[in-house]
Amino acid sequence: MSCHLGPVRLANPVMTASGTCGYTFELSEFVDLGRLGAFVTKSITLEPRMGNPPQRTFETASGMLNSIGLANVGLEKFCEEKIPLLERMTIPVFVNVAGKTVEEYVAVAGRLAGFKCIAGLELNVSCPNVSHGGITFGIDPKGLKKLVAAVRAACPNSFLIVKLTPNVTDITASARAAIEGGANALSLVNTFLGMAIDIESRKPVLGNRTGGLSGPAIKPMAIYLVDKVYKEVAQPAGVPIIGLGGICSAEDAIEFILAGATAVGVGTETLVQPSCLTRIIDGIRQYLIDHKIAAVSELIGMVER
Amino acid sequence: MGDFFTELRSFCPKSSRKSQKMTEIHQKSPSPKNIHRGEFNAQVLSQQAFGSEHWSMMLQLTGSRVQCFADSRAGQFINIACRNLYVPNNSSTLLRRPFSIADIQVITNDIEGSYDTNPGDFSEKNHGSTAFVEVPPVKISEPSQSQLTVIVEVIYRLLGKGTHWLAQRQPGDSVNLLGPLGNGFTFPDQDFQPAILVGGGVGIPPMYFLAKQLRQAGHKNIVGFIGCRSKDLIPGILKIDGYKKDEPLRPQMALEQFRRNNVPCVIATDDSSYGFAGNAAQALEQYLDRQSGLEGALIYACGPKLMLRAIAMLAQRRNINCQVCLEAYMACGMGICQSCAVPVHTQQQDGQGSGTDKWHYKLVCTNGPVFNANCIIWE
Repeated sequence: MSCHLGPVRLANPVMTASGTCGYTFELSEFVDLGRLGAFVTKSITLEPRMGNPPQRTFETASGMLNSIGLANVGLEKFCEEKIPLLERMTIPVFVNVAGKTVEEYVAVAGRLAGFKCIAGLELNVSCPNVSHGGITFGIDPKGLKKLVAAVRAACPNSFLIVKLTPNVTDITASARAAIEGGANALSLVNTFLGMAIDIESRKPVLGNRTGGLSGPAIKPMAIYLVDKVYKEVAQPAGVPIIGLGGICSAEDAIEFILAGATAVGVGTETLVQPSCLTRIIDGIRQYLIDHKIAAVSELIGMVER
Repeated sequence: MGDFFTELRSFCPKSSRKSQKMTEIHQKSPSPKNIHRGEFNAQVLSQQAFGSEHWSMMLQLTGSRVQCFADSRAGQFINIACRNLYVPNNSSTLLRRPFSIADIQVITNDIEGSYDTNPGDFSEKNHGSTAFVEVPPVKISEPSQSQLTVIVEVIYRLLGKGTHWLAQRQPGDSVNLLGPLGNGFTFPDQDFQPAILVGGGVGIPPMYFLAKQLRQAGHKNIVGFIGCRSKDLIPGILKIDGYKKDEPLRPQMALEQFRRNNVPCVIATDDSSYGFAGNAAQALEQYLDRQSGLEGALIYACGPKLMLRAIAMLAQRRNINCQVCLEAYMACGMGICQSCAVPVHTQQQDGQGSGTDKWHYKLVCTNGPVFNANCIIWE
């Protein structure tokens, strides 16, 4: 069941998705976090952020719109209060980093790179809910390459994951730019931009007007993008992909792995049922047994081409 | 979130990973007393309709971990998955639906075979049987080495596809829930302090639970005010006979759920189909005008935001302490997703939250749903 994201060994390919599992042990009453492949924290920014005005989430057909707005305690408080708890985690921890400017990313990443308990950093260049919340980097390959290169220079030994937005015409250009900038892995994909309108008040449902769509509704689109990036960019470059987008079951996770993901992130369903994470691990194991497959890595990208 | 992390430290002893084990569903825990909340598969015992839109559902939870429900407080809620989580590609009602707890009963002896799951006659069986032991509301119950059974009642209004799915569950069906979530009401310090319970619409059920817990804690002076649009929309069993229409403001026994705990109540209907003609806030105001001996009184309110705002303003004018139980759109209910943010005034000592000097956000699911009314910024 184990897999490797570069030098980081995961006991299994199932990870949490940023923003759906808190900073540390918040979900420990609901799921055995020690069984997961890896833990990814909420996005951390240089300054604390209070987030967007409510309403912040809305259920849609098999999906969820959110515009939380990167609400988080900020770098200082994260280092002071959350890192001592993360030190007790028995699984690899990736910290998600967001910012408005290259300098902010570099400041946060540079500080976090010094902590031994952090296995790597995931750069969020794709939050759709904050103006300059990284999305400006995510949709401009040149800017993205510059950003990743700057973070790479500030933390030369850190394992860097770049989380890409699907809200672009050509995601392979973003993927190439991230790798050229020095990314060690890619997370595919963040949420799709969306909107909902209350027809009685004629106002947008979300306080921030628009939000990001997640959940099973986006899974086929995410699978398509993982397949495309794996084939055209990641496999030739030897860069692993973390697949995300509406994973609810072991079947969904295996689909992502067959499309080219080395590991998978489970987000929206974790908000509903944290124990789905361990159920997905058990389901993948059962699939391997049923199909007499020795290692989960044998499935990566093995969709018929 | 500060409190939560203090609480969390007890879950994460420095050197071991076994602390995480206790949390897994179906897994027997070594120390149920330390479990404050969790995920449970509950069995539907009964469903009963009230009036034209409301249903009462009894859910049975068994196992050593359900002690946390025995210790739960009025105002806390459960978050129910209105779909089968174990079937792939079955996610049209993706998110859970939060429901406040309307009652908790703890059963200590074996109920196998003695429990009637017939929806028609659950009421007498449940509430009249000696098999039920009343729960001490505040102090922690004795840890039991055997399996514990808890019955959780929720009263819900048929509103959308989630609650329609719920209404179709039959006795014996399984329902997945997270709970007990949130903080719950704080009781008066002294048992003689008057407790005024105000509920509107689906905000009424937690008041039933609060009335019961206050009685059990020895509080003597409890009165209820409930407001609904119409008589048929009262989420409870109405005892019409005991009510005289010409004396609308003398609280009487008109609701079975309050009568059980000997709590008199006033019923207000917007369309004047029953009791006081008007809303619960108006009824309460008239009561406060006429009633004496309200020194040290506390108002507890749950209902629509406009009602809560009116009650909060009224309480402020009369200089009465008031706790409100808020409703908010939630995705997780566990303090993770940050959806249910509510703006609150920043107190002098409470510089913790994110935001400006004047206000910041708190989460209804974990900092609430019960707040002091004067903390809330009513837009």
